[in-house]
Amino acid sequence: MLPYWLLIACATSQKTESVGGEDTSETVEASDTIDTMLNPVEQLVRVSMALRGIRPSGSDLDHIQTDPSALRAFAEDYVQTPEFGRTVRDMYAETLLTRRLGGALPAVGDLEGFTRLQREQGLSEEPLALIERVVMEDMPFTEIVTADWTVLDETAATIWADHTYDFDLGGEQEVEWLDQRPAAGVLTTNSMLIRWDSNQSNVNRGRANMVSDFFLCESFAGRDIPIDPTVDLSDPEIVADAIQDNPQCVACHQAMDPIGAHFWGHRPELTPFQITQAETAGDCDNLIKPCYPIKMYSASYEDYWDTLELRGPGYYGAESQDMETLGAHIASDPQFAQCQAKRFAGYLTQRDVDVIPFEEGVALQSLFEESDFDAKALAVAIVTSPAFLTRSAVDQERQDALPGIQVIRPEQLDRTIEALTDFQFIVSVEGSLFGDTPMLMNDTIGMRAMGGGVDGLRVTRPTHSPTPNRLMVLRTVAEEAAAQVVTKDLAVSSADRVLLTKWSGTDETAVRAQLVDLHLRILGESVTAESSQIDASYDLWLAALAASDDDQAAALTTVVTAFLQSPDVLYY
Amino acid sequence: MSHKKPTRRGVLQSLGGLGGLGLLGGVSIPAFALPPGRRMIVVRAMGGWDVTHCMDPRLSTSVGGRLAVEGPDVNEANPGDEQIVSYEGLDIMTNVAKRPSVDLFFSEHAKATVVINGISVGSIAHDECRVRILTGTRATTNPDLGLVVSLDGAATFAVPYLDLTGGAFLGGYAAYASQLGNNNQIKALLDRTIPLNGAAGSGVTYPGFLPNPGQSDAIEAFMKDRASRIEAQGWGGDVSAKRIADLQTADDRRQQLMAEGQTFSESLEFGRAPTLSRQCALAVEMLEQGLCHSVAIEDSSSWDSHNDISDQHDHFERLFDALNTMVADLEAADLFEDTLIVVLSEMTRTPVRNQDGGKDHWPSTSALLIGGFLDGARALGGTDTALSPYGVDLGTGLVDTSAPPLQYNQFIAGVLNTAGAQPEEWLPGVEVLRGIVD
Repeated sequence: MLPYWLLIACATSQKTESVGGEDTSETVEASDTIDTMLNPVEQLVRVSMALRGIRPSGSDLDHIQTDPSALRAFAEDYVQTPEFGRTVRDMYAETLLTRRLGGALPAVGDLEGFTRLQREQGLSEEPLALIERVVMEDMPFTEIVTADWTVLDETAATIWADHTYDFDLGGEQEVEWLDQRPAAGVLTTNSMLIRWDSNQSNVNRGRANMVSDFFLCESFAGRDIPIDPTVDLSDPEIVADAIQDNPQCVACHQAMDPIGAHFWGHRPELTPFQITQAETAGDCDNLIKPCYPIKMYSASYEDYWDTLELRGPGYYGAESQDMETLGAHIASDPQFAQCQAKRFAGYLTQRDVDVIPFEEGVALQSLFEESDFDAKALAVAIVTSPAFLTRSAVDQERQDALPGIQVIRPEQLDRTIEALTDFQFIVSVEGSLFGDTPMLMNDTIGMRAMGGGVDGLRVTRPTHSPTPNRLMVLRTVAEEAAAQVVTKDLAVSSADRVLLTKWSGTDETAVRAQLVDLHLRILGESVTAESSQIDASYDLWLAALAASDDDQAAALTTVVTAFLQSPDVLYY
Repeated sequence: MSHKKPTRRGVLQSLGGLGGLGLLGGVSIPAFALPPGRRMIVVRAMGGWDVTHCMDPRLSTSVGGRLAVEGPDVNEANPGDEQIVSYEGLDIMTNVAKRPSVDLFFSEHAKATVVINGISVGSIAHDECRVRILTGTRATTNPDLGLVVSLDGAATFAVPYLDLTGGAFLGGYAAYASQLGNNNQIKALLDRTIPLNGAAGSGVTYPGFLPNPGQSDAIEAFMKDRASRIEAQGWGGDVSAKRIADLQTADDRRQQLMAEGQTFSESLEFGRAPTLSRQCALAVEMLEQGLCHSVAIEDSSSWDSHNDISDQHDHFERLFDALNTMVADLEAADLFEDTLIVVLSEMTRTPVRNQDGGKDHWPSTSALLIGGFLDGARALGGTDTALSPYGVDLGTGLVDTSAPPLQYNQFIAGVLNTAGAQPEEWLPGVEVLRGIVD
């Protein structure tokens, strides 16, 4: 069997589907495989959704039909867009879990007046914004663990002390820390340090596991822990000796503790209760009683591992001094390259990292390293690989390796709907401190996890299948978006419309022309006005008109509602 | 159950081939047309309970001059209040001053309760232990016990598995489950007439569009047509077949939920997370209405007492107060005889305290099984003087020091067997813990 990834280097004869009476098939060099590929329109939709979370524009869809070879060029354009940056953020939100349910610090002191949403985002987006900036500014991806800067918004800049944020400018800014913390990209973002905190008895082992799991795909916590009854757990000195000398303990601790030892200079944990107490009492010492802006680093604690008689900093047997050298070790570790490459592949093709075949992981690692860690190139290679663009394969082993039909994520649905209709499903709860909440990008009062996403706390893996809740979310969003876009579009001329750009009246020819456009832009289907697909949609229009007592706007809203929640939107 | 059942894999494979029928013309194929077993309520006390405070009772003891276990009597003003009481032969740690609901519960329901002690989970990481104690496996991609039990007879229920925790493991069966949302967001999905505001200053209000019956019918017909076209596209492989088949399953569930879920939606308050007591009441209501077959609920307070072990008093009191009410409600609804309540936590805590007066993680746990059909007032398994799990005879559930300790997967297999599910289908090769009902 050809490894999945080597398929990108092989020419196979491809049978493409004919759609709408138009023959879009093309043949390349013949071989003994006859796999069924997606047609050019379907390919472009899939690539665009995977990279950007939005459908291709009408002009892009027209172009690909005349020039199917432009697919890769389109992919290379798509990774230059802001939407790809948001995809990168969403991707690492699923890994780092900083977009956490309940992740907000109290609105007291300097943070008074900030909404819940602002506080959640201020605490969650820092590492995601850092990674996005690394990718979108074409830095080597290793920068995510070596960067000596971070990205803060105004809320985060209010929470944290010791940085170069310019409050006069506002917005998200690239900043430097002024507290002399050794820099290691996302590992030294305050957001990660709070999300992955450490109580006194944990002594940064949870953080060590975070490093090994997220950046090397090798979790310490997944190992079995045998109980050794001879170890007196009531005596800290005996425990400290055991993790140095007892073989059952040493197996994990010899690698885990030296990684954890890098984190001592950073505040171990921070609770809302601490802050509220300190702010209320006005008795702030920024150690046990933190007030805004909060200090997160102190060099005087860097060697606290020594005080506790724990192992000093190290990296799997190699010497290390501080977070900067830790980041450098990770960046140069081949495991990092393979792990992150697999994370990209897993996210973009909706497969669990653990099921990505070994050969594919190695191939992706090579590609990533040889490109000097070009994340955009990696993403393009993944989504333009024949395996991702294949609907079915004749060879059973290759068939089993196909990612298969994809299901729209809530974040993608949010962007798709907004791009098609200029509507984002935002709710404002009267009298609350939530603020304007985008319902597909939030879990406190939003519907992200219900729509198949993660909430960073209880739901830590996405769901890639239709569920009752997901369908209800899709229906709700479709109805609201349809109501808004039809009302707005019918109030302006066709040149100013967002979705119904072809609408010119209710005679059949005109309606069919509009439906053809909606099929292309929403359903990702290129069909002619006389096709069976348009017949079915025209039937929808007639039924909607009858059910709406001939109210054109209501009928159009019904039609658009149906299109926006169609299985063609759910899947790609 | 004695009848031979099809394997899940076989059903899924047949689904893939018959999916075309399922998505055309409104015909839906029930994926699991098997008689349902016992209902199940999974009560999760996540964070790590200290079993010495209740079901694995220990007073503080030293062995060989070394502190072996610190029980709930340690550092208490009135240590004599901690008593190991025998309820019909079942020993439980009680403190009528600090945990009166525990005493009340076992006084009333010891005979309907089986305790399982000394379940090895093999890890001290919360996330790892959680997946192991809920799924019986190490993979988050496998369904948890509440979902497995709900799949038999799934076609009968609007939502076979109702997850009130938001953190159930659904595996590949998410189409058979529904969640409320952390602040009852499902209410806004089920009842689209609830008025909501758009962004401040936008002038947008919701709902903007509520299809009338004729409009809904038109939309449904269009959706069915599009679904059939996707089915006809010929996506290959198990992944695609499952995802496409799930659309029909999920849509059937959605329609049933929207038709039958109004009653329970009315009892939810949008924007307010249900307390443990409210979750218990909801669970009984939903089972009584026949909306679901199993429910997962969770005490959202953290049992993770690293800093002060005396927190466990309040946790156990709150838990058993809720259990008392829930059992009473089940009895009143005539459901207690056919319902299995599984109360568990992903781990217990170290036998002795740390330097902060709390306890850290310990790679074993206990569980409570409660049900009117149980021959209770018994404890299976056990732990030694240092809280290490004893070996267990899996044929009887009794302690056998010559045998290996009870493992989490064997425990889950035993629970599935008790509930009437087929453990060998979900945990192949795992020996079942007997002695609960057989």
